Amino acid sequence: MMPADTPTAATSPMTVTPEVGSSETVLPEDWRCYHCHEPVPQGFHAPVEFDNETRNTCCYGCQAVMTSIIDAGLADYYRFRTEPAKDLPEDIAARLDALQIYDEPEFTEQLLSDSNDPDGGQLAEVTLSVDGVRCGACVWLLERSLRSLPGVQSASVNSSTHRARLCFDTSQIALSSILQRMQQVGYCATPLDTRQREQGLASESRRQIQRLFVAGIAMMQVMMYALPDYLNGDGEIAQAHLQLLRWASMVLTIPVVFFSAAPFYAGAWRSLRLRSAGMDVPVVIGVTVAFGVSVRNTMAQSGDVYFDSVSMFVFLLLLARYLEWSARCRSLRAIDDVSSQQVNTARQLIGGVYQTVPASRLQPGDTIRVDSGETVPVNGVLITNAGLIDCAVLSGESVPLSIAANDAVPGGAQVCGAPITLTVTDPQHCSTLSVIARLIERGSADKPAMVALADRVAHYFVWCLLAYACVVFVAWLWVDTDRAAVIAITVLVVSCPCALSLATPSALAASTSRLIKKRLLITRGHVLETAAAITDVVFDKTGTLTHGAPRVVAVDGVDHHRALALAAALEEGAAHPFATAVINYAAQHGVEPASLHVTRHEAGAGVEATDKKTDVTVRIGTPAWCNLGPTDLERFNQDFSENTQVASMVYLCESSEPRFANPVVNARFAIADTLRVESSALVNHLQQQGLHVHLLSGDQTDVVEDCAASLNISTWRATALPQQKQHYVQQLQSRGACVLMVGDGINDAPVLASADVSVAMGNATSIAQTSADVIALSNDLSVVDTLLSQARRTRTIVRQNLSWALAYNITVIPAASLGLISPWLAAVGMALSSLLVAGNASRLWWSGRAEPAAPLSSVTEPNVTERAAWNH
Amino acid sequence: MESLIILIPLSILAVLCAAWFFFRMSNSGQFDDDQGPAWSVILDDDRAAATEQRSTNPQE
Repeated sequence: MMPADTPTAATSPMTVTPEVGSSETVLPEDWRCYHCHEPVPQGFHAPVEFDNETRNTCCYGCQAVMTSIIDAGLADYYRFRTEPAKDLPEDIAARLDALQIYDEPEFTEQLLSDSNDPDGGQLAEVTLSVDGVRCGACVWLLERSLRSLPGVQSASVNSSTHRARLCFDTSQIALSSILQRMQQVGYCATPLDTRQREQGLASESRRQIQRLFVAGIAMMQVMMYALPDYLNGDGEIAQAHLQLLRWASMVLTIPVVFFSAAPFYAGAWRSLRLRSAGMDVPVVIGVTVAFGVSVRNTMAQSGDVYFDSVSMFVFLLLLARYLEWSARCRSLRAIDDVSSQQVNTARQLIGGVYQTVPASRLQPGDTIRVDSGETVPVNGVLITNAGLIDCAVLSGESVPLSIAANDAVPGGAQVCGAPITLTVTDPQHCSTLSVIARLIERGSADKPAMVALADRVAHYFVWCLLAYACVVFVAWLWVDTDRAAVIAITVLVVSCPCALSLATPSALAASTSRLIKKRLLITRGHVLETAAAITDVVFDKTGTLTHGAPRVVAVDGVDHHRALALAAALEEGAAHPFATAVINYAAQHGVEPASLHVTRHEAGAGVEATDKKTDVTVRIGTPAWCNLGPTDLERFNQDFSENTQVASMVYLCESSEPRFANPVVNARFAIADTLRVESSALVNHLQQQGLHVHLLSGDQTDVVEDCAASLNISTWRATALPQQKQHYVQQLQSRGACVLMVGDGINDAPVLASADVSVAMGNATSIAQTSADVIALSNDLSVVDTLLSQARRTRTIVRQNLSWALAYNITVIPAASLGLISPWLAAVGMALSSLLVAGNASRLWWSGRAEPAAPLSSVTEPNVTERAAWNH
Repeated sequence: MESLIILIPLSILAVLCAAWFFFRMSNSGQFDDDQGPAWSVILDDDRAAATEQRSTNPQE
């Protein structure tokens, strides 16, 4: 169906119920879920007994998890934890069933690696990415509950990478049961492909630490050997002893040059092969020449040695690189987490029933169904009459395409309209689908302009530097032949543009991983740069300022049960939020959907079905779709009190005549969406910072006006089509504004694309979100403010870094070429300047960590506004 | 001062030993997680162990 907030939307738009929106309401003491500290919805009651007290939970998922933790004797988790648990997805029960898919041979083959078992069992190892690990207590809880499962040999959870490594006996326990157990205690885990880079990252991290350690310990030892040489007066130490110290220094410097410095050699070789001079080139020249000269002088027993300078230089540089690497590692892991959650499954027609199968099993000729909002898993040909697909991920084309029967549908496209049925034409491995790979590629290949500029500058700088070092060398040959080589090296080392090259990327990497920690995934390189210059923030309403998941607030009609059964049957298979609301409402009231055959699915209007036995046509949707005139509505309102709530009305009507003439109203559903708790505080905060806040919605005027008024937004626009929204943003831009657009990512693709920076809200279940620059995985609106402030801080840090690097190079180069700086001082200066830059950048990562993440002490915190305000 | 002839090679040996130990530790994954193990020490107190014995798990 159509987006929820286009003006024609079926079942038109959602509304704001004012009680939460005003956000001044004081809630009772246990207004927060004991498990996840999310606010408990009003009137919701799902208590758990713990420590002889009744604790409230916010949803049945939390209640089930809490009960299962306490029943397993692991209640100490609640006593020891320092952070609240992650709130659970609503569809946790459905997810438990979906885990069965991991037992399919296609997956086990891919995910498990065999391991030797002395007892002859079938041991397998798997690496899981665990979502929701917040503190040490989570690790304890997970390890305890996993180790208690029969067949699990070992389980270890890493709290910094959020990875679990498991070794289990496949003959005793299935992977899905392990995952189920983890979900029962509140953690969603997804297995990582064994071929994925997790292992690579882990071993590379170890290798980096080892390199650092070798360089560090060698540096300390070599300095000790070098000290006598520095303090040596004339002939105070016997030549033989000095020589011994030099040989010892050389022995310890060899692993530094050949093992620790290997990445620099590799980097220099790579850049030379590309006929450019990266920042590794002067490093390599400096290290090699200094080491070569020292070795020659040691052999010849004359002249100076610089082993201490070499090892120190390498150590400090590696330290700076290590800081940058760990920042990058964090962002790569976050990307892996997201991609592992994208299990490629398909609903295949087997024996008249649609069953969920791994997409890799599909063969040409199979029939599959793809629901609205889902991604087409493989290439296929459309069987159903018509459909609407979005190929944004594949082609960048953001306008949905209409397709007719027998048209080809590329794998990776997203279904926008009604569910479609396809015949598979290609098996998965030759399909166009490689969406996540594209996301990763784009995120990393996209170089921000700042970084590109710094790289270009560094490139020319290196060539100039090499030329300049040669000039200095030749010049000094005339003055003092002995010192010429040393001074040339000093110039090279002291002015190496490492700090310049590290200045921006290290800051960006630190910021990116900081944001990932806040569940903000950056998919474009330019985001942090542009977000710092934002002047206008444009919000979509539905799903952004509001929850986007409307509920049925009232049902009016003669026979509620029958109406619900019919409505649930009609809305089945439609992904429109209203459909979900109706289905959920029916399920909550224990109503089974009636058996109906859906015949028509009109985007933005409603659904029609025919009961084959009685030949009665049933429609659900807007009054217009149900052929209801003003008189019909009036009559209904007379029978049932007019619903005064600000809510959208969906009508369920029946008619046995052709063309749906003379419909009878069965029921009226009032559906409303509520404002997010944090919306008001966020808007206020943004306005205080001098940003213009706009509200753009496809919703009806009164609803949007109400929303804008309660949020104190003066510039708003209602009933805007996606194109009009885009136009609005472009107009703002033509007036010189730099626009941040926050939307729910699915309906707003064109607007999101034209904004300077776009943020998509929601859980990364929908690949359509890749059209946004930033994906907010947390579903918490206050991350918008986090993004903006982090971007501004990044800009400050980058500027500091760049000015330091430039100022440093400008001062030391003349000093070095005049021979005023000794090689060891050059090494210290250069490396310390890199370290300073990298350290300064890592402030971006560290500084935010101390902020309160809903501490336990504030459980009784009564004020909603204050709670939202802390998230900043 | 003649002792230097033995002591300096000995110091190299000490460094090599340290490096060898470090490589073994890092290869066994000791530096992979810098927070979790510290926590498990605090959490695995007697009370936690006692609670676990009461739990559904007879195997452990």
